[in-house]
Amino acid sequence: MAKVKIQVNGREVEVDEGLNLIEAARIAGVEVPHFCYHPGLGVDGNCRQCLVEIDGIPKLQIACNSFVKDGLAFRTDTERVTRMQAGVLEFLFLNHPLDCPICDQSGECLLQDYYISNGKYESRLDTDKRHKRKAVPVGPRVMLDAERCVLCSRCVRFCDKVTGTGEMRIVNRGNRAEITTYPDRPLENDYSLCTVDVCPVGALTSKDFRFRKRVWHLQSAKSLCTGCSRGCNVYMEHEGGKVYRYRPRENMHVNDFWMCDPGRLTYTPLNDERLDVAIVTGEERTLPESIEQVGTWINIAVASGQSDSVAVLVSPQSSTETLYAAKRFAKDILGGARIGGGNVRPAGVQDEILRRADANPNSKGLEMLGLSADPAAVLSAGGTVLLVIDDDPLGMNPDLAGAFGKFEHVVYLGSNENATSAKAEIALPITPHSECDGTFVNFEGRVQRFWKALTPRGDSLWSPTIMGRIAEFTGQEFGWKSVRDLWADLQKTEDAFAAIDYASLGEVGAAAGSGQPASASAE
Amino acid sequence: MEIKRLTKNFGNPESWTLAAYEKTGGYQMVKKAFAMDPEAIIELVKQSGLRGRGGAGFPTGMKWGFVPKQSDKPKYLCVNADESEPGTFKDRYLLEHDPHALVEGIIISCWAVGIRYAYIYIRGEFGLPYYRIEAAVKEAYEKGYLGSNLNGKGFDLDVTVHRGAGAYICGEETGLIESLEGKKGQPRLKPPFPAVVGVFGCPTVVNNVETIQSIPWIIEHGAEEYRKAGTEKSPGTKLFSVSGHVKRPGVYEIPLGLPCKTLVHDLCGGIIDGKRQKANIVGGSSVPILTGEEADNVDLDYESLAAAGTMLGSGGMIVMDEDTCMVWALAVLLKFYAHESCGQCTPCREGTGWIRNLVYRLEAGDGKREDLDKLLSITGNMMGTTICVLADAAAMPTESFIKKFRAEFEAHVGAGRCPIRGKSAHFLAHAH
Amino acid sequence: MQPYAKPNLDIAGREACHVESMGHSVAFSDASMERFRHLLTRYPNKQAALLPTLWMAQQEFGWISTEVIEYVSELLELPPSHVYGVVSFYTMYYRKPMGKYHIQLCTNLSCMLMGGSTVLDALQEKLGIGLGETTADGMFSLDEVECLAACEMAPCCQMNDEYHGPLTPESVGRFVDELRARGK
Ligand SMILES: Cc1cc2nc3c(=O)[nH]c(=O)nc-3n(C[C@H](O)[C@H](O)[C@H](O)COP(=O)(O)O)c2cc1C
Ligand code: SF4
Ligand code: SF4
Ligand code: SF4
Ligand code: FES
Repeated sequence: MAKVKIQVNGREVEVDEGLNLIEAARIAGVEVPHFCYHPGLGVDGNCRQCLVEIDGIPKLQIACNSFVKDGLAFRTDTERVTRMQAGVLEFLFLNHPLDCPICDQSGECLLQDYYISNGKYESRLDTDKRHKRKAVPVGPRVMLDAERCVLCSRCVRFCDKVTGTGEMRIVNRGNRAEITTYPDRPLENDYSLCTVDVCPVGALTSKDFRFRKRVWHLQSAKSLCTGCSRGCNVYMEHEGGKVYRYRPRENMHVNDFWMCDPGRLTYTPLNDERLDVAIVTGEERTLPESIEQVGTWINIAVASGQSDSVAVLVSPQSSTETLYAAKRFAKDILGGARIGGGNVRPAGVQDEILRRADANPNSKGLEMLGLSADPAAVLSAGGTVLLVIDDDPLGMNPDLAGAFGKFEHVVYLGSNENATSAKAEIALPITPHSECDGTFVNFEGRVQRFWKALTPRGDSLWSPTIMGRIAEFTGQEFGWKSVRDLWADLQKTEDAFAAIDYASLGEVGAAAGSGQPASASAE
Repeated sequence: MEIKRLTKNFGNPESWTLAAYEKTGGYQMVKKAFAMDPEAIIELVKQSGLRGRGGAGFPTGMKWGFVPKQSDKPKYLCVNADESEPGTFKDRYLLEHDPHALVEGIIISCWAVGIRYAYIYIRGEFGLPYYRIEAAVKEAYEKGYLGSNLNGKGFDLDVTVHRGAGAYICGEETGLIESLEGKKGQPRLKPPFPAVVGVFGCPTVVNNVETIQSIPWIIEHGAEEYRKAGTEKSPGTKLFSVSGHVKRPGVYEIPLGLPCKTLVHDLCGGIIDGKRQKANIVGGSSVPILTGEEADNVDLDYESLAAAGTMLGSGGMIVMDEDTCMVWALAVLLKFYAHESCGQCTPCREGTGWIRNLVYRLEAGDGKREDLDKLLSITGNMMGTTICVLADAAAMPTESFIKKFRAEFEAHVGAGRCPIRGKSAHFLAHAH
Repeated sequence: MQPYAKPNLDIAGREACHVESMGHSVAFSDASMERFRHLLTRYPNKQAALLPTLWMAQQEFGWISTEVIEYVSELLELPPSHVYGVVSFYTMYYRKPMGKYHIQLCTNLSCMLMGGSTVLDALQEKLGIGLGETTADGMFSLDEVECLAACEMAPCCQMNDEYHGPLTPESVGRFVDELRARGK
């Protein structure tokens, strides 16, 4: 894209042609206060908060609807701009209930932010405030407080432009204007919680999150949703070792600014019913002694030339690293074990927006590693040891119990207690994607990173580490200390990943098989 | 003093019918225009110096010139018959008395600009004017003045009368366009301007009824003749709607530049009961107010009024006598603006309600002295910060009322009631 | 009456804009359907026909109920929330049943200068109702309205779609009596 030179508060910066002044200022490190503009919803120009002074134009202009061209210079720091911005903010407070102490948005509210940086009036606002509806459930997942609404229309535009469902509307006019749904037509589309994200104030809040946590306590890590094969980019927000919510993270290649409602709730297994210690026949054991037991069985199989009596059942729920480690474990450590796995999850809903029917985050990774997606071939004929990695095949498909029973030992590597862990002779705790670095490959073949957010729970370890420790009992090792080490091997040994360099995946990932170096699509 | 160009047929028997209109030479100018090159018509309108009569006074020929000549999309004309500016009622007269002149003006304008479809956006409250213009359009279709191949060379034109439903803001040209598209009438951001992206995403001309109705006259008599009335910079005649405390309220077509005094004291017969003129809002409620004295010394043309710190606006003149309380009058006007703000821009949505409440409070004698400066500061924050100029239209009169009649406002502070009227008004929130 | 406009009452638990139900579904008559189809030919898309369709609906069904909103939104393939937003924006779509004679008195400046408020007081007293109300017999509804563009006949009112003025406190009394006789 063509670049142009502009000046922001006297500082020259080079930006892409066609940007509006809010985006251009951001590149220059200047924040122009605004409510209605949202990069995913376009310009509406109603809040009037983003007024700036453009050289050569006598009237203040709204930054959201002014666009850069070469040589353009504008300021956000003049007395006039500051005064007018404070004026607009004061108007917004005129009928605002000022209930920050009990507001969920407190801490991430633009009104509050700008009030602190600009405002100082209150005493002038001595006329009666208008009252509107408070604490109204506008849908199964979203609560509305119409008094806090600044009427920016972001939620309306979201439902009109992104989902096309059109539930939200501003009705009446003048200062009687109020945000609402049509009576008896609740906000219940599959993306309804995005309205909570785009709402710049505490008017729309998530029922799941309401009052659970003051947001300023939360920490945030870049992560991915594992709800389906789209792999929406998210912020994983957590505190005290617990994940509180997912919020969509911008990635224009994958999910723009959005994620689906069901996907948002997929964080719960990261907190609940965790398998965080090793269990051997129903008893808690230390990890080393449990690993030793598995290692011994494996060693016997290898030493007796019966590698093919071992089977490794993998899952498209696993990270690429887990899958690669499992593949190396089966093919190199054991040299001839059966490995494969498949989609045990029922197909979900697919739509035109984000949701994919394939409910696994890494089906494509499984395919790229050349692993069979057919569990039958892996399980048939039974054998000595069955290593089940991730997910809950037995819970999803109880019919597999018969096939499992044909193995002498069933070992489970997973992060949650479930039907499979209960059935396994030994269950070993591995870190879920909240507790390690790694990647998933989405349905389009985009390799995307997730980042470690929390310290591993209990005795949990990164699955390649556990597999490495088991391998040690056969006198072999992987030698991977980190994801990077693993990826160095992965890139060398797997053609499908040859063009992708972990170090340059960046925040937005890279398309596999595009033939381009991965860095080209990293930002 | 009066010059009857657009009002020449008023008072003719059944002047609104096709038969009556044709009897006085109606639709002859369509023929003349069809014989002219469209470009030449635009040029003629430019030379006439005709300025838009809806309020902003933008030169009509120039506006037409902004419409792209070549366009893949059809072009549209929206005739603004929303007439909602308080004190203005001249378009109603034109629609009631001479609707065919509007249809004729539309045909010529569309021919000149290459327009395929025209809508007449008429305010919802209008009953009789609506029936008259509907009937006129129907008659014009039946007679072949509208429809397809009007000039024998493939010029098609369809005209539809579209009824509003009660919203002042639909008079603002982009609010009108939104409303015509079946939405709330909330003005659009500009740019893009309607001439390029207007109704249904197509190039669009929006003109006031009076503006369009001036076109047949200009075709008939030429630009030079048109300029014989009015001043150098404000040529032609203008319809003024005069109301308030004058003896003969009504619509007067006068040459621009006529002294305001002549209109008020001669044509309208002066102030009722021979009282003094305390104040005059000359161009519709949205323009700054003049004191009676200022009004008696100003001429009614764009430049003189600008020099006097006000505007010609829509020509809706509201005259107030010596007994009128200015705080009360402002309160009445602010009730209107707060009710009519479309509500999308923060400064207008909140500001109109805020200043209204403050002025209500002042009127009731419950205000505080600092409210006056507070009002001026609020209006300062409203002006120039919004999508359309409704916010300015509420702020400007407020400023001018307070500046020109400050003593009266101060006299209300702490008085417990209106000291002029001796009681306080009972302002009500609108039922709607 | 209130000395000055108070903010509206707490509306928690109610809709932001109250539309009543008729209690039965609605559909255009054949003749109206014919008109509706003609209407669609006058606009390049269905949405543009919304205002005129609502006018037709109001004429046929008397007022715009939730059922009418849903019917119109189906006819024009629009989300009901859109129609709801539009209905709430304009003042002339009635969201509850109205009296046979709807009197709307202009309370803008030109009419108020000429004694509009005394006419308003007289009307309220004569009808025994306040603004926004309908008489018990369903004969009259009373509202205020902004400038009707008829200031030469100030103070004036709109009765259904006719304009009347100039009014005096005495003349409106007679006017109401005439209407009452006409309406019987
Ligand atoms: C709040 C507001 C209300 C307006 N109302 C009207 C109106 O009722 N009638 C009208 O012709 N123009 C009205 N205008 C002016 C229109 O926006 C527009 O300038 C005009 O229709 C253009 O026509 P003209 O150039 O022929 O005057 C209004 C403008 C504003 C800002
Ligand atoms: S609810 Fe939130 S997003 Fe929607 S209009 Fe109000 S402030 Fe904007
Ligand atoms: S679309 Fe898929 S990846 Fe995206 S949020 Fe929903 S479930 Fe998660
Ligand atoms: S200035 Fe007022 S009327 Fe105009 S667009 Fe903004 S809110 Fe609407
Ligand atoms: S962000 Fe520019 S007007 Fe709201």
